[in-house]
Amino acid sequence: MDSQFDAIVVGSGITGGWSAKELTQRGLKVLMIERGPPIEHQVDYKNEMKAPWEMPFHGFGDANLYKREYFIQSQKTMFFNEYNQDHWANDLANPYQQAQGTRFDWFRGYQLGGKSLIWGRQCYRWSDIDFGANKADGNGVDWPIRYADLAPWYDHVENFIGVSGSEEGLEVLPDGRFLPPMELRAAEKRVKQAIESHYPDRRMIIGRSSNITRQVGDRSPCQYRLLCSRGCSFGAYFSTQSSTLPAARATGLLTVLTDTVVEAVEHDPVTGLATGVRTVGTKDKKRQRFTARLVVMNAGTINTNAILLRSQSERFPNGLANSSGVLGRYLMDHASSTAAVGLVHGVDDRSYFGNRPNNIIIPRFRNIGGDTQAFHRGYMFQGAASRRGWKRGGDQAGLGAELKQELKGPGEWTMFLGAFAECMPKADNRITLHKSAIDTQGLAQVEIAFTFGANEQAALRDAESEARKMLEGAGCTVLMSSSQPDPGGSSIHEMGGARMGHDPAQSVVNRFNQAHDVPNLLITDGACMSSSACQNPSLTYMALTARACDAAVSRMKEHKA
Amino acid sequence: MSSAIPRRDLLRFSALGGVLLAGGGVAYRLVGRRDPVSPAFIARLCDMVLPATDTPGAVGAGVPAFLPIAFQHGLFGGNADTLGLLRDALDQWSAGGDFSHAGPAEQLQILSTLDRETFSRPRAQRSQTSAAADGAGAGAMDGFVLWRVVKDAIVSSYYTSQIGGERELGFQLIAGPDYRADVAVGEVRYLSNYWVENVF
Ligand SMILES: Cc1cc2nc3c(=O)[nH]c(=O)nc-3n(C[C@H](O)[C@H](O)[C@H](O)COP(=O)(O)OP(=O)(O)OC[C@H]3O[C@@H](n4cnc5c(N)ncnc54)[C@H](O)[C@@H]3O)c2cc1C
Repeated sequence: MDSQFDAIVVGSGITGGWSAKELTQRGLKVLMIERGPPIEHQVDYKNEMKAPWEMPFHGFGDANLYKREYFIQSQKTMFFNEYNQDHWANDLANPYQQAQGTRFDWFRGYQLGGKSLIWGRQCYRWSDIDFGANKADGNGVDWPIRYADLAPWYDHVENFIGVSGSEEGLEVLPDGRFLPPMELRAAEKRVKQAIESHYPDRRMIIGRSSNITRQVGDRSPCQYRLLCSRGCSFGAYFSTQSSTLPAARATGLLTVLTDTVVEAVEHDPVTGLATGVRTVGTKDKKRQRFTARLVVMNAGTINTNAILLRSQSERFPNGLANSSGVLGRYLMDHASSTAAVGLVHGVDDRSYFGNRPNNIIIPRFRNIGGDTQAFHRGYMFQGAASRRGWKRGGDQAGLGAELKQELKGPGEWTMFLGAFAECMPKADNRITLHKSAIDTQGLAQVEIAFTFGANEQAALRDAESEARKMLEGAGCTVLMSSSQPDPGGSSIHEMGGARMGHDPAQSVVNRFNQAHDVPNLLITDGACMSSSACQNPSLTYMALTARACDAAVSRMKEHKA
Repeated sequence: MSSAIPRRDLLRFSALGGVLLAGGGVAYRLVGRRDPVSPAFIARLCDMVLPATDTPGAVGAGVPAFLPIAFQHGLFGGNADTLGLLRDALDQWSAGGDFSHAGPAEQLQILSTLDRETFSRPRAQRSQTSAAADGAGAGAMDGFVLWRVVKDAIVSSYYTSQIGGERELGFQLIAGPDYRADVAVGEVRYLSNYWVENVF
């Protein structure tokens, strides 16, 4: 039977956009299916240019509504707000379960573009230290790829999306194809200087960000507004809308279907191949089937796992491509904490103008080079220095004209260092389908079991202590510090469940992201990750996706599966 | 403590907003009158916090009208009872038992004392990375937290109004070529639209 499409891409977020672009540009007729509503570049960014006084709740949002309907999403206070609330999933309408005694805050963007609209835009390559980590300490399965396999695809992705950053020559964080870096603020320069003079093995650098500092194609450079998550009409950061979707549409080979949930992937036991997907409409509840020669799973880590677990058949009673039994297991998310915040002194005569949509980082320095710790692997810091703004007026004594006068200018400089610690792959951290609870589409709800272990706790304790020392060494007054991990999921770097490996008995996909069991099924989003490193992962997802699509099209052209 | 309010009354104030943890939520133990808070009372509070100077103050910026709506919707950690509870507390310290009818000097003295006392007490630490990390107790209220809530609400509402945000301070949505990462304080106007600053 002829297929309707050459390929079906499930999801339109960061990875789905990349699959659609790479596959259509190689001549494939592609159907991209997205559960959320359409959001078109520029025209649908309805709050982009709004001032606080043009919003019903001055930009703070209706807190009672958030308690009722966005009780998970609104925990992300630095990101979630009244301007962008429609770019996050409604928790009430999209329930999931958390296994007893465990906690996982699941942050989601259910719309065309997925989380690419609201992400933090930090882009880091992984190094051989990361790809070799499982093998080195025996936790998890060995990655069947190394940095050299991915390096050309990192180049490919960076050249297309545009990443600003500085070249540092660090083994732990390979340099990329960078646009000019953004500049540090005065207090950051001071702390950097102190850290680098006290610790020769440490660096504090500007973040590597997909906010572009030069024109890229028809996308304008960043305007320093920090309105990114509202949608950026300048196209100044990477999102599906600004970058991959226009490229895919330009081929004339892309069909986009929104408001449609993929329920399951269909499989022909005779050929051993995936034949397409079954869907249900979110508005009309219409059930449909679509067929294709290739199916690419890009629904985001947890939904990709859920779809595969739901795709049960006689051949795969526990979920498609799950002959190993590991599907859904080894879920990871970086353990994050507010490691330390301090006052920075001696730069009160300096300030800044405009909003920099970027932060600083201190790349990993633990368990590399000559450093050896009692815990495995490492952590990185991300943070920023800023001057306290008018908000301090509600947090200090003072009334009347004097208070008003005091708030006319900036307050003290503070420096924040947040830690992201590598999360070890653990079999019990797991995605399953709940036995009885169903969602709005009538599909089994996802259940997530997740806890951090002793290794993550030890890494965060070290991070707190080192953050304090570094700030104190820079003459800062430390105001608070913590090693308490935020709830699982808070880093929004969820990955794993369909891990990559050499051995079909222990992993779900091979080195080209093909399911071991079903060769025309690609899993290229975070689900395919076998370890978590401590860098933000999305650049790696993009590179893996582009590489997997290229290999799949080559195979199709050779008439192989 | 130099104050119009005796220490025992301050302690009573602390107990007034005592926490009732029921069903996982935080509710105020309501004492005193329940009649609606008058617009004049809210306006007076706003005026004492951010008065008109060479620019309009909180009253001119429309904060008194916004505040009850904001609290009804749970903004700033308040709720529909927040203003009433504060009014009741302030009434108890007023010589005539009615803060709204006290003279301006007495009103200011009472509020100044409360303000000083409130901000001499440390508040709970906050996580920069996840509100959930602050735990359930983070929203707990005592009487001094009540004033924190109302004062924060007045300040936040003012600087996000057009008058506070654009006339009192500067507002520039698109920095573009004006963007400066590191510049002398005096060289640039201070903006109200710095969306992200460190909290702790
Ligand atoms: C606030 C925030 C900050 C972040 N910061 C960074 C950062 O700085 N750097 C970084 O590397 N990462 C960051 N991330 C993480 C990043 O957003 C994700 O890693 C990335 O979006 C994952 O891409 P994806 O394509 O797998 O999933 P998504 O972008 O989530 O896209 C998945 C899409 O699939 C759709 N979908 C789901 N289920 C179905 C279904 N059954 N049928 C059809 N469609 C479906 C969803 O609606 C969605 O559109 C951040 C995330 C957030 C929210």
